[in-house]
Amino acid sequence: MSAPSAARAVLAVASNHLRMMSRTPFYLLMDLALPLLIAAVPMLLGRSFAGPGASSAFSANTGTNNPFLFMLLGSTQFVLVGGALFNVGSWVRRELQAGTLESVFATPNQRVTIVLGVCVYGLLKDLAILVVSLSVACLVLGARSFDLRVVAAIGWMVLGAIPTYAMAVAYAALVLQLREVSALTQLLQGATGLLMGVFFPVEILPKPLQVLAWCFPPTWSIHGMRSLLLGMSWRLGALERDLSVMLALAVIFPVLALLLFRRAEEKLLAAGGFGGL
Amino acid sequence: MAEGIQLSVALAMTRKNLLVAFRYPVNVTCRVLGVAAIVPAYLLAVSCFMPGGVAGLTSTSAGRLLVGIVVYGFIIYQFSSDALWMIGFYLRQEQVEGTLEALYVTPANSLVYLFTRLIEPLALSSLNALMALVVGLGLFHLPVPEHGGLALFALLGAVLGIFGLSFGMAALSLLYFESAQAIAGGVQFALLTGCAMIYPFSALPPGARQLAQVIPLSYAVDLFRSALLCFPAGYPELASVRSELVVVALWGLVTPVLGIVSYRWAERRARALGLIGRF
Repeated sequence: MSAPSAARAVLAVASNHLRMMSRTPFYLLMDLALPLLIAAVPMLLGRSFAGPGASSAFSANTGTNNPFLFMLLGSTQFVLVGGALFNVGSWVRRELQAGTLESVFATPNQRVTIVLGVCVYGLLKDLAILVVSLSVACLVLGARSFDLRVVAAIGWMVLGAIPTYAMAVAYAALVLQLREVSALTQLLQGATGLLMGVFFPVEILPKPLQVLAWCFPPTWSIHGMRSLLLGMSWRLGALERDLSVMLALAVIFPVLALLLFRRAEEKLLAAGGFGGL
Repeated sequence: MAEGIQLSVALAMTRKNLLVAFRYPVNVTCRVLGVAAIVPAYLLAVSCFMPGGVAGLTSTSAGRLLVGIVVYGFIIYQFSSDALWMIGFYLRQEQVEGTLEALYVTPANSLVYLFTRLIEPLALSSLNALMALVVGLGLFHLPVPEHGGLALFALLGAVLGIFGLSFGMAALSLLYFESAQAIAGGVQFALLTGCAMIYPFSALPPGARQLAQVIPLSYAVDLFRSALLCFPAGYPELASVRSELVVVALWGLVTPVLGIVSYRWAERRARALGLIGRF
């Protein structure tokens, strides 16, 4: 299959999902508001301690005196990662249940092209969510607080989305084999929230969990956005070093994910195809 | 149809729902383990505001009180969130799979279907609540629960009322399909934040606190965690124990009735419009 045809297939799948999303606009509104709602809970918890010590304690524990943006960036990234797993994993499961996955995979497109289309749809939605979150942050904190760093943060998020969606493709491979994974998705969403330090710096986790957390692309993504927008220190001391890790993750994870997906495909084809529930 | 037969239908449906819910042990395990990730995430967030971080949270009385508020509030949140969306979700799933219309042509009362669907959220929420308690007691020095009877009454009232709301959500699902699920998600978050489920009511801004005071579920949340925490100074936050008991009892008795009435109305409307089997 030629590259232009593959690109057309990716766009067609993405546009199909966007059209389906437009059928339930309230869902989209919920997705857009979700980071704010999720961030509200720890913010209100923090407020319950609001006293002279709370903000200095927050600053000492996290390295920033801006809990609102710290939590909002965390919850936004949490929604993006959870959404990536959910978009791809639940799409595979839905098609399996509806009995259409085998037909979709029997079209002349490469199977991974179709999965990429779902990822592109997810990425477009993620961008919208990030823009809304950052716009709210700008409104609350004053637009002058940000300037070009907002654009840099969006670019950082897009770069971080590559290994994140690669993880989602690997997850789709798992769904193909395990079938019923709705609760596994929930568990992974919770575990990723804990690992990437959605509401707290990863440094307060126990050492073994910290090691695991820094092997996880969304941790670098969230830390980079906080460094860009909140002036927190970079993980490796400088932007260039953190950026080189992100670039490496953006290459390694997609390769690993494609290998896993191909392997799952081969196993299923050998076992009789994609039609089983 | 005789009541005895309706009862045997209810038992058969309950058994089927339990079988489906627990068919995949990995699935159930993952759901319960998910709580082991979410509760620490919130508690670690709280620790960021504490002088001394996690150590400050678990070693001071104010910190342990907040751990109690988060964990005990999370238990009510578990029961409310699962029940709220699950009934409507399964109803819609039956529509998509084409089995809902078939259920309606059986002699079984359609309300039996709704009631028996509650078994899954009840069972799973109970397991999740146990997990939250284990995490709180084991990792964050959660104060040992007290006044179990009173707390159980508050939980029962809260859950019955939530079941009433979930019937209302099921009614919306019949009429608005997938959009009803999004509305259920919105209601879930509104209750989480509006009823101050995992933070004290004192943390709410004044306007939001007034709003919390007009939601009856808030009183169940307040009574439940105040009782389990042995009524620390300033708790319950919204009203006296006696007043909260009355509100919780009314919430638990009236809301299910309203939910059933709204479901019956939606059902008649869906039948008239030919929506029962619509995909």
